[in-house]
Amino acid sequence: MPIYNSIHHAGPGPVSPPNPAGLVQAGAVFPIEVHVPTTIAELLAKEGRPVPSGLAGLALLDTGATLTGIDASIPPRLGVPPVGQVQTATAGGMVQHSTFPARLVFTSIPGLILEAQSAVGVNLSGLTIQVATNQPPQPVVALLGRDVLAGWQLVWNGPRGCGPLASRESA
Amino acid sequence: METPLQKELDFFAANRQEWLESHRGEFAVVQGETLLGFFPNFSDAYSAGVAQFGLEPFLVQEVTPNEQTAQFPALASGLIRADL
Repeated sequence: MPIYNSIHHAGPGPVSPPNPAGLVQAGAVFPIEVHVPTTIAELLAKEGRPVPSGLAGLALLDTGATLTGIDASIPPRLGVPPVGQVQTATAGGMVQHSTFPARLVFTSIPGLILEAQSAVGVNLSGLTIQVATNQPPQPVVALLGRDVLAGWQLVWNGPRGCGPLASRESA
Repeated sequence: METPLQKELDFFAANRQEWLESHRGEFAVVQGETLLGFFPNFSDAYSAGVAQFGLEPFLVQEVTPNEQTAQFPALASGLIRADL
């Protein structure tokens, strides 16, 4: 079972001391890149067409979300068409959202890649999180929902600024 | 503005009851009013759809009795931000 540990540091790089306050402020966030799904990347490569570069940002762990969401502006920029629709409940009633496949690459966790089958396109524009005091806020591009967590075990170590320690049943 | 994949969703809805009898839990791939087939999981369904339709939009939907719904309570309530 692969294990991945995400630690908040007081400064840049892994040599600076852990920063529990950073974990409190930022929440459980992971630097990620959103890429076209592998199936489309293989199709483009087979046709000799360029594969779009991934779009970087933060993924915020959202234990209240049933499904994983990605910023709705990303799939059109990657050229990924929708594969479905899903309804979400809002204060104003039910709202329809498109769903998209996407490949989420966790850039700070070697080897951790998620193929999201039907990520919900949600509006995350303008949402930023400052992970460290000496770094500028970064855009949130994804919310990791309980569909992802269904394959993970998590340990939240607040006093040490470690969170989450994540392990997956299958890589 | 028409919902993306509306024609496919209408076609799926029109055939849902019939498909439930023989393909419950499988994943249907639909483009327009054409059914490509049923597949045991999303991955196989999506691969078949891309192989057939390339980057043209198509629907991949599990054959279930109910519409799929999602909840983003923090996002919807404004704890993260107000608008979905």
